[in-house]
Amino acid sequence: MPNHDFSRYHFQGQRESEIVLRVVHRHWFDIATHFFVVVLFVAALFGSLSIIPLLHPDALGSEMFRFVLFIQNSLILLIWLYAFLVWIDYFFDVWIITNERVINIEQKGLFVRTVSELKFSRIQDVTSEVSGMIPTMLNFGDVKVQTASEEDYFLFRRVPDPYHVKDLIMERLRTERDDEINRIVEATQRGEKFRSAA
Amino acid sequence: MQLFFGITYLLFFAGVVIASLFIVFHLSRYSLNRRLAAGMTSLFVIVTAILLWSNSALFFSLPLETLLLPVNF
Repeated sequence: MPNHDFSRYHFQGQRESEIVLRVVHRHWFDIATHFFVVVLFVAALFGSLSIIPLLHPDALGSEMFRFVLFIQNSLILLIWLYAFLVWIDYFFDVWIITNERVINIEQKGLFVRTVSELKFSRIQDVTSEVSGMIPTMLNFGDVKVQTASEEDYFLFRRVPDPYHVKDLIMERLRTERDDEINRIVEATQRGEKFRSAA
Repeated sequence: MQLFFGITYLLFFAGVVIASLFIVFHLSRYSLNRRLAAGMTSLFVIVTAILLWSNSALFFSLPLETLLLPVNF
């Protein structure tokens, strides 16, 4: 996975000391299936514009041809809006891994947006799964982040390079736990010094 | 009948403009990368403006009286 500078990414609610380590979107293959339909439809529209003059040479310049152009223009406008709605649904479904927590932002259409977060201290287990021929060839799959509660988990759906995402979270988890152990050790040593001073 | 088509087109136009405003709002407010947000918003606004302009030009150039002759009542 190429190194990418995510420090210039900012999200609402980001704390001052918080650094974005990775921003994960769903794999491009997920959106490609939606856009394939869009491309087919647009191709059909433009194809019909080319075929009509061939089949009916007198049609060019006629009132009915202008009407057909208007209808096709309207359809292209609607397809353009649909394409951007699909883009928004894809691009704003995002998982953000920072040095403090994992944030899951789910965009469902235009009017439903869910934001949930999970601190590293609550993470118990991370599992990655790549299943199927196309996901194996293109290297995308799911990453499940499990908390202590069986019902609470984060699911990174159809993300690229899920093994790397899992490794990143595990590495962050180890760092967090090492820091916690160091804090406990220092606190214990301070406690012992206090007792010996007393 | 022409009034009906005029009102229908007005509703269609207004619907497209409202949907576009919502899309621009989402692109500018929720994007994590400001540069990408600016680029995508600009692309969307420019293309939508061109499509809307051509759409309204085509609509107003339609000879509705002749096209609707069989259904005029």
